[in-house]
Amino acid sequence: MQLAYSRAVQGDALPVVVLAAQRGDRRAFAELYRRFSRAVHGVVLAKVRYADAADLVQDTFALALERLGQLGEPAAFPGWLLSIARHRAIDHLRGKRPVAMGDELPELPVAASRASEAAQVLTALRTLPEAYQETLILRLVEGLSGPEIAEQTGLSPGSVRVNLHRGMKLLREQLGENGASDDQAG
Amino acid sequence: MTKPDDDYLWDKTGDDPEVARLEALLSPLAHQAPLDELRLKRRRSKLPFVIAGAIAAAIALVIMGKVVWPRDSVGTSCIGPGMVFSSAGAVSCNGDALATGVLPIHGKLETGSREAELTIADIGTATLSANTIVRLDQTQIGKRHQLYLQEGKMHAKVIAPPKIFAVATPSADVIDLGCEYTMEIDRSGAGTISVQTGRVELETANGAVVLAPAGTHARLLPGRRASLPLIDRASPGITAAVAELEDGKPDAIGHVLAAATKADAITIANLARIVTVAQRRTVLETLGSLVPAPGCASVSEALASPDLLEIWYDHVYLIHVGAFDATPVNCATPP
Repeated sequence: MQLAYSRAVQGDALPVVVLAAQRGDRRAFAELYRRFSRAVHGVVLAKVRYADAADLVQDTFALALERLGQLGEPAAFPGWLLSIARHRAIDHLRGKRPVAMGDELPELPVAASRASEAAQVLTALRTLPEAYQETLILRLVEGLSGPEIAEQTGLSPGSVRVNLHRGMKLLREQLGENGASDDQAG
Repeated sequence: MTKPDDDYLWDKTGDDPEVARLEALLSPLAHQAPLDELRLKRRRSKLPFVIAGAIAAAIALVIMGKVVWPRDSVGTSCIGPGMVFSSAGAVSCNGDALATGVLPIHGKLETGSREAELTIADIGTATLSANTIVRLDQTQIGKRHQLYLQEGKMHAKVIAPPKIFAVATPSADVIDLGCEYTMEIDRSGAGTISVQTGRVELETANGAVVLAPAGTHARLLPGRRASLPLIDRASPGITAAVAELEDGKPDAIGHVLAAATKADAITIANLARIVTVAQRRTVLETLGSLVPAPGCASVSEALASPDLLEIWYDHVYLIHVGAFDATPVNCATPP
């Protein structure tokens, strides 16, 4: 029966999964992690260095589990969770100097020949306004589509589309100015 | 700069080479790590000081003989790092009657008359039948999770890289290579394993390792010996011959070889793994008649090359699971 329930949870609507997790069902909580860990990672990666992001994702979910009982409206879970993630990232940065491009170079899991460019693009993304940087990181790093970003952030599809469009325009300008993109395109 | 196409940026339809290039550049940074169950449990075990104080006071009252602590209400020995278990009713976790809890490392779970389910971190589940006793020997995210099945029945379903999950029994160690299987151990420590998907490694005390793939079953014998895996539709002839081998009867190897058909090639490949060097040539000659070595290599060549031997065993396995065509190969010179 438990296995069948577990399978059912995977296809369930978000409020059903959140309610099950609130009742203490750990598989439901694991399902929330499966659905939202990339979004949390994208949100923290917009603020902290890559090497610290995975740890903060786990921290965010541990905090979320602890406080899940305080969440009144299950449908509000995405915005609530990402808010915890942003606060954890800000707490983490307290007393630390801002992330500089060179800091991350050795830790990025990309081929050495592309690490510099990846670090440059990541840095450019972090200079964008918060709404754009998070949305674009979710799109370009975590590989979520616009509709998935809307679902996982609680933003309206229209807002996500605007953020993606305006953010990408700014990013293209940034990269064009820095000569990062065109140099290696094609 | 390429002309942007918002559809691709929005829902990945259409075309925008620059966005696609940035995706390819940054996608290795995407989050992939599984949920860290141990960290969740560590956080949950940090009780607020007020609660801790209340517990301390309650313990003091117990010591003073004012309160009888209800045996089935707290489960204080079943918290902390371990594997989460759940059941429709109370099962025994280190002697505490609990429906859900955490089986700690070195803790023992006894299901009694109920079924229970263990969550193996984020890689799978183990369903325990009634009258089953397990002990958790190890659980480390990303490294190894190991249970000891003392007696009873366990159905494990694991999706993880090979060798992350293992089950020790009184008879053999079962190393998961990513699959689903059912094990049953009786009070004498003997039992069976039946593999539904993937394959498992059976390690025995003498160091011998046999591989049981999907669609096979094997006996786990007292004295830490695993029998040869037999296909689920094995003939009575080879089943009896393998039983003779388990009993150490003379000529048993010859009987196994004589009874084997092409469908039993996986049994013969495993036999080749566990026989002595002197016996291996005969076994490989039979294996060659059922499934020739890749490239029609000869038995002598295979015996001279451990790598070739492993490739041959893998070839037999792939044919067994239907990944390779089992059409007979016409080798110019018989192996």
